[in-house]
Amino acid sequence: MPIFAQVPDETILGLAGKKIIFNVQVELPRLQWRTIRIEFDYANEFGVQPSKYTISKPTEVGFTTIREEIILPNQVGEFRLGTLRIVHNGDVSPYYLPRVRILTFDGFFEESVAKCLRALGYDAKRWGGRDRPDIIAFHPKQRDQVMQVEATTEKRYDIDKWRSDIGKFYDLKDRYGSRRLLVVTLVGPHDVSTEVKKRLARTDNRFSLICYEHLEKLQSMFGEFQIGNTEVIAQLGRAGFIEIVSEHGV
Amino acid sequence: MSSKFESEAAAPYRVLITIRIAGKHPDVTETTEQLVQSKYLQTSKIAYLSNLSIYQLAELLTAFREAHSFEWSWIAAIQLTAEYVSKHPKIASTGPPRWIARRIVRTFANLGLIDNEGYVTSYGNRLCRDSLDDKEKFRDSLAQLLLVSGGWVAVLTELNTIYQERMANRMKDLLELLHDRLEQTGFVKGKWSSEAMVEVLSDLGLIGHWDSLKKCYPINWERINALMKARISL
Repeated sequence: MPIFAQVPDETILGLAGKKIIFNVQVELPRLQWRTIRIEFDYANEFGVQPSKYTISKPTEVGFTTIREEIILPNQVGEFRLGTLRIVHNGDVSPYYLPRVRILTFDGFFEESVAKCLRALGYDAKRWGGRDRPDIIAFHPKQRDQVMQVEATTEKRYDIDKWRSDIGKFYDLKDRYGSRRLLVVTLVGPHDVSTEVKKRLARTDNRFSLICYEHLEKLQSMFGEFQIGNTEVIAQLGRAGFIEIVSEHGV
Repeated sequence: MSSKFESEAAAPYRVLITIRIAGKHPDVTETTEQLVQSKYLQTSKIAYLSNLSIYQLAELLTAFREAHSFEWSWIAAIQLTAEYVSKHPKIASTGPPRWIARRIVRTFANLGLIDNEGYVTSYGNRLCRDSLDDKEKFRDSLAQLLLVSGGWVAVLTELNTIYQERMANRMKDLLELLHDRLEQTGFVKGKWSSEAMVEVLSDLGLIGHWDSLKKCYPINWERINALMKARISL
């Protein structure tokens, strides 16, 4: 009997210790059958024995569900999770499980910012690492306005960090063709120092800063069609400290 | 806020895998219920049409097409919809016209009938054309869209549950129960009408007229099965 399985083809981003939960729904055949075996065979990096589930009895509703969990190991890198094998009447059908990319906290934040920018319609590439920008992004409707995006997880964004990010922008702008700098802080507006906000208010129009919560708010408004591409470009292209106000207030 | 990001970063990630082992053709009612149940698990929100009938939906979409110009925009779409809503008391009964208009335009966008600049998409254009040339095809396409992309399987699932648990004997009770259940599960929010929803399902042929003997709107499982399994072509 043919076996059909829908396994998402995606790359899961996560930190070490993150739990991945598989919810498997098996639609049982109507003909006579003995057993159906579902096997999760994980890659060596995970150091986990294969898990096996055997279904041997039909259910009233005609399907059964299996829940399987795995914890991401403490090892940065990209790996395939493993293989899912379905064994029925001697036929074995293997399927690849999704890939995982295990990141450091900083890397995960950079990826989250890049993902947010892509959801806003930007072409965003995460570079990361020493002597490289965190992210380079541009909107297809404004290809000449390439942005260097620095994503920071500092608990307080102060003037020293601001100077460091500006310096990094000047060092890298010619190499990456970036024309403006956007800093995205994990912390909220209260943890951005007053001195930085003053500098932003009087600095030239190439520098902007937005807190991640406001970037997410912009993404949510765009995703719910409250604003279009033009407004997104206008908001993220604004110089200075960017705060997003929804229709009903902040 | 960093703690919210950290919590989200540490939260488990769920992967849904579905496995089907083909066998003889089972009873269409049973497999359709499974199909609907499986789709129900993936539904988080229903594309609520704000009391628009299926023909009013087509009328409004056609009006968008005819109003397209260089200055057409999302705001213009909302404005046109608000004017349309003001002329139809049944639609306007659930709130201020502009608020309803924003909701309708957002629903159209979520269903892929317009893009995020307010322009009618190729799928929306096809629906408009069918509403004039081929009413059967229009009803099939819209029914398929609402079932597959609009989360309306949740309405059918809730209806089916009410029937199976024999929770209502009168039409009025059934509609009230449906309203409460869909609101409790978070599928629909704000002011809305279950009667309008049932009318759309009936116009699309997904449920029959009220059966006073069985005290229900009979669900047309065969049609639902055919629509959900048919390939969507553009």
